[in-house]
Amino acid sequence: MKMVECVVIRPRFDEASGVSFEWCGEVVHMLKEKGVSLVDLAGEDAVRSVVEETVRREDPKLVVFYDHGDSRGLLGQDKGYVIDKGNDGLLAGREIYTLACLWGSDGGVDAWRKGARAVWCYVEEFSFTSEALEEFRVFANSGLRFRIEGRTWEECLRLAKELAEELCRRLVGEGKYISAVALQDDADALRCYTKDNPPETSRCLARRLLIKLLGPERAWRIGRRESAGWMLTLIGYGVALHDYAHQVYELRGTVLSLEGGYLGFAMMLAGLILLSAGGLKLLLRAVMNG
Amino acid sequence: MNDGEILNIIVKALKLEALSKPDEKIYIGSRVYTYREFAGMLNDRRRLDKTDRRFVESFLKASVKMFKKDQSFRERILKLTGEE
Repeated sequence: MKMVECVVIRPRFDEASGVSFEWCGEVVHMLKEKGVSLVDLAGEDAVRSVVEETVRREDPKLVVFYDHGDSRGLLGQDKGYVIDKGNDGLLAGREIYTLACLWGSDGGVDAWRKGARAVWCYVEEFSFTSEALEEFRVFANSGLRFRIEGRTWEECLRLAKELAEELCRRLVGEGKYISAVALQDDADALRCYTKDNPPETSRCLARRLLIKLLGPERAWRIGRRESAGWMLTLIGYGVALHDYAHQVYELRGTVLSLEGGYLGFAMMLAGLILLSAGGLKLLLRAVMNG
Repeated sequence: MNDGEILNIIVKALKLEALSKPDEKIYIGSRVYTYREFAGMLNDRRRLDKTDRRFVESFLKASVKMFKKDQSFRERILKLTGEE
């Protein structure tokens, strides 16, 4: 018996999901044509319990989800989450291709953190128009089409964005400006998180700071505990240094006398960095990144 | 031309386009609006709820980006609004 390589999830409960259901039909056709064996959880089957059971049982490499979602999760036929932070560990080691609004802003990041190999997602609302259904369908399905052709996910993302530019030009040429802008907005919101292309933002303030300081690839390598430890140490160090300077000022009328104390602070900081494995490297990188 | 001026021109053009085909629809997540309704949303963004306002702001940001980057889009928008 052939192993199932893909699980497709496509609820249909309103006008928009009716359209995306059809778009996903093309994806199913495309996958089958390429000989990919799949389970198609359409309509009533697109609910959490069935999705969880099917993914556990079939162990697919790829999960495809069309359509609605929000920052927390992907919505099933009963409008409950089929995937959210409570079960996105199921995606570890798998690739997931979605069309859902906003999922990439938080839920998709969480799935990636928990080990999903690739997360194709949108960080804003996905919009489309009735006058340009063809162009939006082509764009929405393009990533998977490129993937099936054997491209890497990073290449798929680049090609999908290039395709969006081409489609926008076509729409502008036809005087469909609202459609062109909506398509451009979708392309701007498209992300694909992989090992080599990590998320560029996070809900966590400390993580956002690290991303800004070190860049996303380095910042995501630092664990939460390590990052909190460094933050507490450096803030505590700053507070102690400030208070020391203030006391020196009270005592001697200047903050710069009693150099021995400052030397001690400098030695403690140097020692801390040296003791922390990789800490010096991180600091140097941060300095080099400006 | 600053971003504010560009935005005013774009909103004017998109409203003209929307009113020329009022029954076409735009789907924003699970919400559906006719172009006529969408033109109204562009008109008074402060009255929108959080979700729609977030979308309209992102949409207009993308339109300004296109205006600056895409010569054909810029020329057509200016022509449509009679600003060329």
